[in-house]
Amino acid sequence: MTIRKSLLSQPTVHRLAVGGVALAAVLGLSSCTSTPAPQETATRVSFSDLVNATPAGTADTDELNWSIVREPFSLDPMTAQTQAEAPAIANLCEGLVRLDEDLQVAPALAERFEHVSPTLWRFHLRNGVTFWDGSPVTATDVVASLTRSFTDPLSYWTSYFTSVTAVRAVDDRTVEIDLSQPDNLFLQELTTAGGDISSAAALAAAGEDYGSAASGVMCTGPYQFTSWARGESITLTGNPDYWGGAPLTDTVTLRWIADETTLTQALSSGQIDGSFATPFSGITSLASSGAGTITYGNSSVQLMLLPTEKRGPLADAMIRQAIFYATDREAISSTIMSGAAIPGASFIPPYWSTDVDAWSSAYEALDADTNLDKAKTLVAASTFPDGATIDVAIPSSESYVKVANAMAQMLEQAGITMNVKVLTSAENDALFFDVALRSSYDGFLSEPFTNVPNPLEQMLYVTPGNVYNYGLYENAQFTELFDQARTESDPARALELQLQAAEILNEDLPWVPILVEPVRLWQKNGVSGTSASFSGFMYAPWALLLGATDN
Amino acid sequence: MQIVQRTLRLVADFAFTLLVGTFIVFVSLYLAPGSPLATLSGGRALSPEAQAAIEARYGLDQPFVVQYLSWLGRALQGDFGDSIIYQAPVSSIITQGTKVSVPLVILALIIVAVFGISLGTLAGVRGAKTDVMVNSAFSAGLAIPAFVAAPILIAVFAVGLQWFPIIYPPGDASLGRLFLPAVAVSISLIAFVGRVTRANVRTAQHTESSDFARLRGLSPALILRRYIFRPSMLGLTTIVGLTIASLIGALIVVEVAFQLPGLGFFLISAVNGRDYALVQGITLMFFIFFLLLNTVIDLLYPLLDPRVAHRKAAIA
Repeated sequence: MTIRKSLLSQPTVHRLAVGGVALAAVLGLSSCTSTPAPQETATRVSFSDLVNATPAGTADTDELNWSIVREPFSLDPMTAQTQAEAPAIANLCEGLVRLDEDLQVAPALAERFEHVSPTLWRFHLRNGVTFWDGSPVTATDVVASLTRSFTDPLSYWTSYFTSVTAVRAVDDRTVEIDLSQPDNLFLQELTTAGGDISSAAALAAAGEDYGSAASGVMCTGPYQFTSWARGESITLTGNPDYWGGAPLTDTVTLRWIADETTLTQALSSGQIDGSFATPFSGITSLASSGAGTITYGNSSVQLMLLPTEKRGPLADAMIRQAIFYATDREAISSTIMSGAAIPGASFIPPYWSTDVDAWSSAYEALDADTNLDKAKTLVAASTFPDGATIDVAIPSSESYVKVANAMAQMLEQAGITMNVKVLTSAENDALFFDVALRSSYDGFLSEPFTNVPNPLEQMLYVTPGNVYNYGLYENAQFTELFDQARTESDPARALELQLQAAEILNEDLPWVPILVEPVRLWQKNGVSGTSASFSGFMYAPWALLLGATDN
Repeated sequence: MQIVQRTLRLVADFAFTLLVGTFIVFVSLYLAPGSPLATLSGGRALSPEAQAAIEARYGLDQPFVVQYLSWLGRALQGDFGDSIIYQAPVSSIITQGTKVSVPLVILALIIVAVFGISLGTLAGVRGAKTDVMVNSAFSAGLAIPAFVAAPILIAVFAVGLQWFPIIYPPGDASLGRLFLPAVAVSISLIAFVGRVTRANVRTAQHTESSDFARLRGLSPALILRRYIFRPSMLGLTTIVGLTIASLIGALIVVEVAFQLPGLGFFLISAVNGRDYALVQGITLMFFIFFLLLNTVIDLLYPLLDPRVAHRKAAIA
């Protein structure tokens, strides 16, 4: 998982113009005495609207410009875990397996794989696949790439693959992976960039520079790394020899525009052909522009209030619940997010699983409506019966400022005073590192997500000792259920255990859900065929079927 | 001998200023909240081993003074180190940025010179209504700093009228791309240069030499050229340094606003990312540039205005 000012805040260097707009928004909101009333918005997205992909392109096209949230630091899959790096690499490098359009694990570089025993996986490499330089993909490349990803101190993926004890080549075309215990997260995590395969020779040649603008990467994906103009764009060229068929688009140029207004205009004028993070502020104007379509995709991203190590009111589950019930998430969604976000109702990202039916029933059964009386009752019953005061840090983005100010007004009515502290981007990034800085606040607003559609991943983050468990959440019953659910080999039983564990978390709310943020995919008219789900654009080759349409 | 001494002293001053300047920048960045690690991880938690490995790779595990001295030692040998956020030698990023920033500064200087001097002269010579109009425009122009002009120009000409594209081919530093940014940095400077020119022109119009030229019956064009314009320009040399310094300051804001990957753009990215090596490399370039500029102006001024040289000689 990555927690980042990702979708809400277009990554900024300094957005002077938007700063002014944000200030106006703050002034506007703070001058109100009541919570913002829901307005009629053009969009009102709901879970039934969400899709995983748009119809495949039907015709070739020369070049498409695609927007990503900021410039990647590196193209090395080992460090690709944010919404800048991951989508930039997704078309270049691929793993043994990947998620298909239905978010099910499907073969990729491995043409088939076997779960030989609960702790042994065997992968058979596809015949005739070569890296872009023409060298064949062998088990040696797989072992080198995965060993590096699972164990290198610089890898961002090590914590996801702690159950792996060995990766070995059985022969040139067969790889086996040993686990210390059964792991119901393992195969899905292998579909992320953490499972990407690079050329062992290229890895050795580039060393620590692998993935830099100068070195690039050497992989097998449908697009080849061509060039990286620092500060401007990354150019990918279609790989005509791709084992899954050549892509329809010759060149995909990845762009990053920090300013939301400028990006919106670049999208509506057709200079940028698509984006997975259409700015909230531009949704309404883009939807009415007729220049393209906005498609909402399944996503694990939720805007949440995360408690820190500070032992203040947010350490009390009743205060967290009171915040949840006092926050009019519906109003925030419709007014501030232009209806492009869905009111949050559970700690576990809803509908974000391969067992959608089971999880959706559990989700629908939750008591999640805004309820000020209930919030007041919870505060009265908490360890802060006379009211609580919390200091909440937020990044300096327009949407965050609006949400935080709206929340502060809403919570006041339940007897909770929320002081908002707007951080610079450097300070906000430091929150995730600097315990002293972090624990000077009671909590912070952020957008955590899970890499793969598996509730176990979200649960993992609030297990004792996990690096993301900033609030030091601990519930012995949950931890036990989680451990069983992760290692249980009977799928039905594993699901049952997961649902039980989720029930505890949705009650305790280790993180307070505010909004579910679907992927906001913009496609210019005449362009189609990309992934729309979160895992799809992060880790699957999202531009493979992207092309022109006949109409 | 005196020349050698003066040159040595100049070089020593130069070196001392650079040393103090780079140290202050290093200290400021070090004391500011945030760390390169936090930027690199982009809000993802890193294991202690990963943190240690990254810190070791970029020398961030060293004490502050050691980091500075080691940077200084390498810089003296021409090695500015590697940028953390761009994973590339700082020198290569400076080279890339220079290719954008230098043409931008030159273009802006041309715009400032042409419009500032011509409008200032016009206001100074014509007087009356023209003067009032131009002078009012100057007042307005002075009130529009680059960071205000940039978003307005983007909104009007790139976004609204769509006369200029929002995105350009990678590496493009064409006139078309640099035009709006150059205008953005120029507006307040045109007003500044224009006002000084206007004042100089008005003064020069009523000097004894220009009055005498009129009495001699010389043509107005000749009087304007030789007795008004030329001495006015001499006065402008005093503000050349200031103008270029303001231009470079504004460059930082404007390059960010227009997403132009020049030195200013990279400097802001580096500061935000706490990329010590890159910040040091770029600010060192700026320091050297300013010092050279000041030195050149100091040396040039006596040549342009012999009175200064005479005065210096008299004092000596």
